[in-house]
Amino acid sequence: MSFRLLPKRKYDDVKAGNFINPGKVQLAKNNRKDKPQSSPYLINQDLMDKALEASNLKQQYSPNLTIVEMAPAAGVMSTSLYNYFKPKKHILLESRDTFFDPLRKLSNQTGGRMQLIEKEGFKWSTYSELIQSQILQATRQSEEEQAASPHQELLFAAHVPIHYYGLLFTSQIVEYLASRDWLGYYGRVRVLLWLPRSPAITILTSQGFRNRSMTAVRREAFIDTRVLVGNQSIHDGLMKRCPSKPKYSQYLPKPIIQPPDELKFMEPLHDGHILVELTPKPFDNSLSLSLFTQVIKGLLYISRGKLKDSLELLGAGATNLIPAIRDAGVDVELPNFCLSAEDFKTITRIYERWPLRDPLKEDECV
Amino acid sequence: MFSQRQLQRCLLRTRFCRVNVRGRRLIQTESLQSAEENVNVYKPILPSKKYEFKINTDQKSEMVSLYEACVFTNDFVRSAQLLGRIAGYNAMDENMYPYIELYLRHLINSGSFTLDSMIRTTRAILKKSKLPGNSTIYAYYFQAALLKEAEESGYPVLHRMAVEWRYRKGRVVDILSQTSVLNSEQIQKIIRILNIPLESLSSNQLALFGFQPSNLAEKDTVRNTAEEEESQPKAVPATEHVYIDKIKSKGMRLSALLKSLNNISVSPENLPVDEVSLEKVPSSELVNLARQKLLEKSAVASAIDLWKAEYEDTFHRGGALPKNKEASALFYQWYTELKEMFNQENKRLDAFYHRIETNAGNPYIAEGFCGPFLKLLKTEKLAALTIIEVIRSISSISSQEEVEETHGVLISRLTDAVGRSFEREFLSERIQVEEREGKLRIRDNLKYVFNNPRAFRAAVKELRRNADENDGKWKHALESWPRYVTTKIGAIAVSLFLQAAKMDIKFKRPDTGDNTKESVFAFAHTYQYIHGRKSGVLRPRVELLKLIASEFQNPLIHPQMLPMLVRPKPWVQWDKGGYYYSRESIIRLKGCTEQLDYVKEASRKGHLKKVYNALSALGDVDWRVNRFTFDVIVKIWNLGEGMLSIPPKNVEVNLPPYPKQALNPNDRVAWYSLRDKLSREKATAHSQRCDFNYKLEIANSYLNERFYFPHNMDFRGRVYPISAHLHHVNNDFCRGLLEFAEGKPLGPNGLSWLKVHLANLFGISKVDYASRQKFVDDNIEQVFDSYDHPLEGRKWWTSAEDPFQALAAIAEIARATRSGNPENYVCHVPVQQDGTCNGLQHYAALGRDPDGAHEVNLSPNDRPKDVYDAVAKIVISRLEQESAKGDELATALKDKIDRSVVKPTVMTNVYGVTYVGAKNQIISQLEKRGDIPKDMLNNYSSYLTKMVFRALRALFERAHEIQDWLSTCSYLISNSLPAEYIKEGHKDKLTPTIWTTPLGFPIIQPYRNFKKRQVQTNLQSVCIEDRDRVASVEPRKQAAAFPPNFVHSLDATHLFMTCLKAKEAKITFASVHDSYWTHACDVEQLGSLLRQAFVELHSQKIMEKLRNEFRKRYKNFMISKDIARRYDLFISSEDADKKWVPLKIPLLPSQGTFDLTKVLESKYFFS
Repeated sequence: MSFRLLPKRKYDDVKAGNFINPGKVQLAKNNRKDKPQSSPYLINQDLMDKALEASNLKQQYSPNLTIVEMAPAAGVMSTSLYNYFKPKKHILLESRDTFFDPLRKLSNQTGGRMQLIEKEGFKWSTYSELIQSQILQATRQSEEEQAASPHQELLFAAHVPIHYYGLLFTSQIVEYLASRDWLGYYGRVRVLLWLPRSPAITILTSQGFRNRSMTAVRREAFIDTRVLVGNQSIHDGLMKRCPSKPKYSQYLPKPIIQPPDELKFMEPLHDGHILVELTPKPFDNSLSLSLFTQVIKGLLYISRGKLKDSLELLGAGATNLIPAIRDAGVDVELPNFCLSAEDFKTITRIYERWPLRDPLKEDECV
Repeated sequence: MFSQRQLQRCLLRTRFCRVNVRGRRLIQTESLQSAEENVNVYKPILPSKKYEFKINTDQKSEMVSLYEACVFTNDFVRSAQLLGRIAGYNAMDENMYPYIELYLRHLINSGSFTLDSMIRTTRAILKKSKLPGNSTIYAYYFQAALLKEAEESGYPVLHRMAVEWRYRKGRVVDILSQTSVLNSEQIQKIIRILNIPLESLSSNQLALFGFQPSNLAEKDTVRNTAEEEESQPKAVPATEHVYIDKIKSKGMRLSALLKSLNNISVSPENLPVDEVSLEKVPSSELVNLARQKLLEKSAVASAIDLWKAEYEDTFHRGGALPKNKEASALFYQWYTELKEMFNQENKRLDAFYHRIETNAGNPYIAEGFCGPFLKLLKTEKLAALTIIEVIRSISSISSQEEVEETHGVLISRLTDAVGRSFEREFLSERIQVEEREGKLRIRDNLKYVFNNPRAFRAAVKELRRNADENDGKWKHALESWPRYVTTKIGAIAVSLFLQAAKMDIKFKRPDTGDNTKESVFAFAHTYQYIHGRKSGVLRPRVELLKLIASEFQNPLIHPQMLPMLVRPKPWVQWDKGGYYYSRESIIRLKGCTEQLDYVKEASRKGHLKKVYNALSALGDVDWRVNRFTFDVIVKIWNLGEGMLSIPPKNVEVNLPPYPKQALNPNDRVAWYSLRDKLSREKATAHSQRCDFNYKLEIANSYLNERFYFPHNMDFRGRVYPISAHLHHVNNDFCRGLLEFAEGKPLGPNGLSWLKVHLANLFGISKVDYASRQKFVDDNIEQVFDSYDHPLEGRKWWTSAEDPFQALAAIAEIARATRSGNPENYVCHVPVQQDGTCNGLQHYAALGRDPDGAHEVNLSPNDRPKDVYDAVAKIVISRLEQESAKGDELATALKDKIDRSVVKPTVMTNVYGVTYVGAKNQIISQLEKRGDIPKDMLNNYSSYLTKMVFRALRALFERAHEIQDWLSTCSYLISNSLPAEYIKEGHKDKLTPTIWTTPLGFPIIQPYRNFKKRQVQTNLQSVCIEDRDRVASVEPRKQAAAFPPNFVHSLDATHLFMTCLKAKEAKITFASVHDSYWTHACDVEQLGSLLRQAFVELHSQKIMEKLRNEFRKRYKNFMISKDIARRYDLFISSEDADKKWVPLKIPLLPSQGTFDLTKVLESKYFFS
């Protein structure tokens, strides 16, 4: 099957004014309060093309590549990804009917390679359905393959909505990639996400940043991260949260392409978006993920407290672990937000070996 | 205006009783017995006043509490400064006097003062508060002068003070009349010094001042009285051996708790004879009264003794080191450690002694703030109270939800509880001190008083005055430490406790396999997200929970709030009644004390006598532990297996394997929620077992005792026992454990009523009495089997709805039947009679609704009507109609509806269940059926809830009209404001709904938008709600809650009226809201009395009176025109173009034709 490049998407075709409620994503409703969320989408194909070129990702994928793209909207990112990776299959998960026409037009030009699925990408069950109906077929990586390289036949890309649902979606993706759930089931599947400001800041914070969250620690521990596109305003926003910049700013991932702040490449709401690439690290069998979660959750309840003072958050008597933790090279005088992911892993391993661990607390066995 | 606002604000903050400032706010407690009666107008307080007091403590009440604490810890420099500030904010307020008097009293008692500086300081304070000084203050000056001035000097200061007082047109005799300050010796001395001619004094005054009487005839009569009085203590030794016997035969715990009492019993002169003899109790109860007083007094000390004893015991038994098996030994270790920590803390706090300026956020100053409070109690008591309170919190379930969500205790709640327990103990100590001082004063004069009729009368008068006096005189108010204070000092105590509470845990080392042990903290202070909010939680180690839950003989009993050994003190005042050494309020207020002002006023006017009598009568019922059920429960307990509501000792959890690498993350979510559920269940089982243990422990302590439950009320007048944990208003387990101490022969019909009672407990309550008796007769073999072999036999009793109560009834029936002569069998088990949906009964009677009355058994029927069944039938018929029209939901549901589905909704409808609440009830009922797909539950229940509401409306039309009227009135009232406030431009909603029950009990709905406030403690920051009565009201909540609250106030009134009638008829009467209990032989008589009470209550035209009360109370109130229009209120033509129009109370809905007297003939009204 010959491959034909898609024509470049122009601003006049994709601008928000062409569509009815273009940014409103019909999220899977959990309760009455779930209203359609706002999900901005890319309008500047040049920026995406440049970012992909700079990323050098093409070499890492085989011709059998399948791209799963969530919320492609007007299809600017889809066109760019399609033209760059030339995938065997490109699945578009879109539930907003306002975008069905342009996406259908796009897919019609690809000779069946691009396929529009009119389903909600926010619903986890959508992916199980894709697999069951064999629309998505991918091979599962063995542990050895995972150790060697990321998945070469599967790539996930998405526009993430703003506010709470964006944050929720991003943190869940990070968690699932780390624990090899969802698409992580197939191995080290790479993910490209256009993130609005709030999830971007949450996910990128590193050690030494006051707003260090569980998601950020998980990302640092289990996922290699590159910022393909990121502007100065996000960087400034991040640095505001770092009290001792000279010591910790080095841990912040640097953007490969830095567009000027005045360039608006998202519609209908431009909120200083960034494009991140998340690639899971090889699986670490020696670490209990649920205990690791318990440790970071417990310690980050009071992220500014000193480690030695907040160990009891793990359970009554956990302060007895201080000597062991100190011996392992972790500075117990540091506030919790200044601990690195490796420190948290060390604490988890020590905590796991502690016979007096409270069995009622969250664990894989009750 | 400014100073007036300040004054008012201060009055609020310092909890003074009467507030009457130029008509701003008057207390109205008159029940509207007739239309002619004048009603004072209630006006809410302006919110703007709230911000006029900006003082360093931020909160006025905190300053007053701090002042009190400083006085009691003899920190007079600081207390004078604080008093000066308080005076500044209370200019012209005579209520300042008691505070100044308190200062002087303690200063003089301490002895460390100079006369000049004392007078100078007091004068400065008086000047600040713009007050001249009263006779009591001058009496203190005199007293101080007598103490400090030398006789040779000629008492110049005393003379100066007397001249000054006379210059102010005061009479020195008024100063001398302050017998609570000056004793007779001092008075006589002053008379001598000031050369007051005795002839100028009346004979009454002479008697009061301790001069010899002249009337010999009266002397004789009084001597006789005196001899009678004095003869009472002699009765004590006569009953003493009974008392000792009793002690010997009692349960283990109480004997330990009363250890100190045992010692005292050897020397009868040390028994609190005076206290005993002055109380109005039968002489047979004198000894128990003495025991009760000592129990309340020395409970904390006894708890420490007990821990120590068990610690030493364990130490001796276990060899070199104490074993941690015994919880009390562990507590003793903590206690000794914590005591030392408190000592160190006190020393540290001394360092901040003079830094008295309080300012939240600055740690130095915050500690300076807490210091005086912590010094009020000895460190031994602080340590013991902290341990007891923390252990009580983790071992008794206050809220199921909390336990399920946290597996521990919320820090905010715990710190407050610990602080509050300190306050209680301090209060109790104060009462003891004051009583001792009072007694001493009397004892000094005793001979004198008994020899002098006038002096005797004067003394009695003074005693009474002291007893009845409430206003004016300084008195430590109930729960007067603001939550800010309790939270702060509680946090200090808990943080010290966390460091002290350690336990050794044994385990096998995984690497070497050796048995080893490690000392770990027993509690952790952690955080958890609860309802989206980060909340601090104190989590105990599971090993500790197991320790508490497994051992039956744990001395965990909280010394306060135990059942009483003697009849509670009868209620005579809002805070006088119940326990002897802990002051309890007659109403349970959750912080907002607004209602208390009304209750005090009503009490002062003598309108609450009936309520007091009824409450006292409820407390007079003597109870004992049902030995049969107790033994059965102990057996179940010791087996360690779960049975009925008793959870097992070890909970087994079967969790499926973790779904690693799930393609659909929802699998993981499902696994996590299952894990959480199981872990919650496990934690709940632990906590429940602790809770059961606690109750069982109390029962064990009181095993051979006759005990009493003092009662008080919630804000609506519903009655509850003050004693926590084990009481008859608690669950089936507690009810089964309790029975009347006094038995009565069954008589001719008693056995039949017992059988009806048993059938009711099996849920067979909707058939006629004969069928219920037949049910028991048919199962008589089962009854005998359950009695003979409760745990080994067929266990028929376990199938009852209330199994433990059923077991108690079974035992009585079996024994009575086997006795051969049931009529003479003495029965102790209470027989219960419950109203049929009591709320609806009241509504039906209010609306004289014949149809509704028929459904809820107000009118005579051959067999009891079942209102749930009736509603279910209407719902089914409507579903069938809709189904015939092609409604899919109706078709799916029509075969799935029965009585049980609608029951919770019908039951709670009258108590104001919301649509969402009702829907959830229906969801859970439909879920139980198991044949409805989960994804359809929501749709089905929404549809069905509407159906049930409509059916209820159709069946009880008039009830709903009344409900609507009530909530409309409340909504209008909460949106209204007095006319002058509107002129001043105030718009905040400030008016709560206030009404008076037919027995004269005033009720104020407390729902307001209380402001939250962050308090920084040394544990964490705690968010507390400022229960401020000037906060704006919540109109929606006021309106939604008014109908149910009003009906609750009516059912409470019915209970009181019935109780009073039962008391008159000498019938034992206990109650759980709308369930009335008595002896089997008295059921018929009580039945007739409660029907009479109901008819009497509803013959009073309650609704008309309520409307009348509203009209008068809210006269001249204005409401916004928009709201008036929305509710179709009449708007006169002159108001047509105004924004605010006069508030008009809507007309009452019309009444039906139901004849109330039919209730008297209704067999199943209560059944």
